[in-house]
Amino acid sequence: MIYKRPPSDIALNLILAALLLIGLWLALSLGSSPLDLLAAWRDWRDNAATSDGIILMEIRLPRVMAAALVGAVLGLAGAAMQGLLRNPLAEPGLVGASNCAALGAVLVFYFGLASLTSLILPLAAIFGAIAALVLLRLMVGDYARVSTLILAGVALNAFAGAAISLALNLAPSPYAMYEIMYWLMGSVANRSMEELWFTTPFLLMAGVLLLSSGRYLDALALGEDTAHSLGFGARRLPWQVMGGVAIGVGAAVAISGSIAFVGLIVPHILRPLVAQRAGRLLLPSLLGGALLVVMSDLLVQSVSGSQELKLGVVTALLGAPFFLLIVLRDRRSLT
Amino acid sequence: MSALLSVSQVGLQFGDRPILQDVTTSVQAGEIIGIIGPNGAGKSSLLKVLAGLLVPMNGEVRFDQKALQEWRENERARRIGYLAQSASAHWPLSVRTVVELGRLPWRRGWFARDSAGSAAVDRALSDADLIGLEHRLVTELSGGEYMRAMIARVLAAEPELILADEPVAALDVHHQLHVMELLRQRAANGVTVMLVLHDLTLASRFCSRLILLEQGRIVMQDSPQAVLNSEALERVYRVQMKTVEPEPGHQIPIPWQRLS
Repeated sequence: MIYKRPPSDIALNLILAALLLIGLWLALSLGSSPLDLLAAWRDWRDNAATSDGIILMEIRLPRVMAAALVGAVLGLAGAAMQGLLRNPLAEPGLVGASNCAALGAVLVFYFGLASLTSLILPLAAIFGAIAALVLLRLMVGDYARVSTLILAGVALNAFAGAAISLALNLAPSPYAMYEIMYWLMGSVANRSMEELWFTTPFLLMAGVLLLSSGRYLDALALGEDTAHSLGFGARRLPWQVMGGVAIGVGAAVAISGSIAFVGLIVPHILRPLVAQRAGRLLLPSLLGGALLVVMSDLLVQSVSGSQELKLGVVTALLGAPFFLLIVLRDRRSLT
Repeated sequence: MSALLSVSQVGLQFGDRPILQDVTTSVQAGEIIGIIGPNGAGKSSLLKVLAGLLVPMNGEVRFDQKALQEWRENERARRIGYLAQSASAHWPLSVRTVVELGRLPWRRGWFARDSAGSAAVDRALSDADLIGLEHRLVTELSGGEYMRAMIARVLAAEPELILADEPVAALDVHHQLHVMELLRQRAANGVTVMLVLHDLTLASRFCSRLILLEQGRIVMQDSPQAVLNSEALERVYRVQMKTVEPEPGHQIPIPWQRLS
């Protein structure tokens, strides 16, 4: 009975999926101003060009989809990174892919190419993430010790961060600088379905790579040598996880810019609910990440005044106090 | 009968530093082989080579008549169990969860079902005297309980060859004997055991053969009585031994004082 998934896992995933569905429904129907979902959908289907129908299908649906996809991949990548590094404070940005993806996008703004086509931004971001992966591979070589991978990732992250600062420093015009800053804050507003379709294959690839590495992450709980002796070799599997994280995070950055803390908080909250099993944490983190970002974006819309609040700012504002909570809880458990 | 494990002229280096040189031995099913020698003699490295974790630069290791590197990883993992010296658990997992991880080689693939797993885990828990501790977190166990959980994890896989790096170093004398008896009982059922030991008394009591290593080379491999009463033992450890005889005909060396 042990080797089937215990019912608690299924229950947890079902509850998270149900909450996510409710969240999606709320986000679609509330948005910045409430609308009747069914009526708007019927208008759209019947080609009646009502404003509700257009708002739902061309503005709100892409926005909510973008939030859900970005949250899902960040939650999943965060759980995978924490499992790979066996560290609850690891986050997907550590491999360097998110900063490299951001650098790709920043260069597009810097050279004023963003207006060419709406796909050039996601294209550059994904290119940046894949370049990060190739550089990691070149730096680390064939046999990847996890500690070496992280050192290389941190170096790459720092370099890409510095390059972004350099681009801001040398920005050709205040307008380019403003665009870069604004984009870096992270948002899912005004996304097109086209951009989402473009990034979907990458998100799927990341999902397959990461969700299929669950047993490896479980085995890693006992250390790399033991995992190897259990048949999880040191050659392919660390790259499977790193590759999944890099591609997934690259696609997330391509959609939304940098959204902080999601990949850190979501696995952290859910870990006790899966008996600390790194592999079983993957799917709940995917669902929980989607839920968190969809709800955060709903919050963004409902409190935004004349100046639009950025999603990345809100998740960071939510994330920092969460860390304070962890500190306080740890302190209590010591005294 | 052909050997379960045959090691021929294995050599291993880290950079310029030789770790193992010209190591040759063969192991029959059901043996309990103690690997002894001073710190840095290459005992752990030899065990890692036999487990397939390190690939030797020279020579070859054959397991069940096939080169170790040619085994599919998963197949190898089912048949060879390895207990690392500093076996660690990085998350606060329950004892039962840790032992269940030993069944992972049977659970590869999306739809794999391990029907014998639950019974094997129960047996391993009971053999390692962990009944009643199954739901405790490994991070909250005493050193000895922790080590027994790690041993149970290896036993749960029901391997044909158990490679254990100092499995009893952290245990009290009662549980040292317990674990050694457990391994001896598995050996009586045909399981082969190779373990790194520092305790010469246990080596003499429980092993069918000892391999004495010095600076990556096998100095001697023979019955415990022959190895433990040899001059080579004193030279390799740089310790003068005195011999006690707790039972007629069974002599055990006691490290008495350092030789300069």
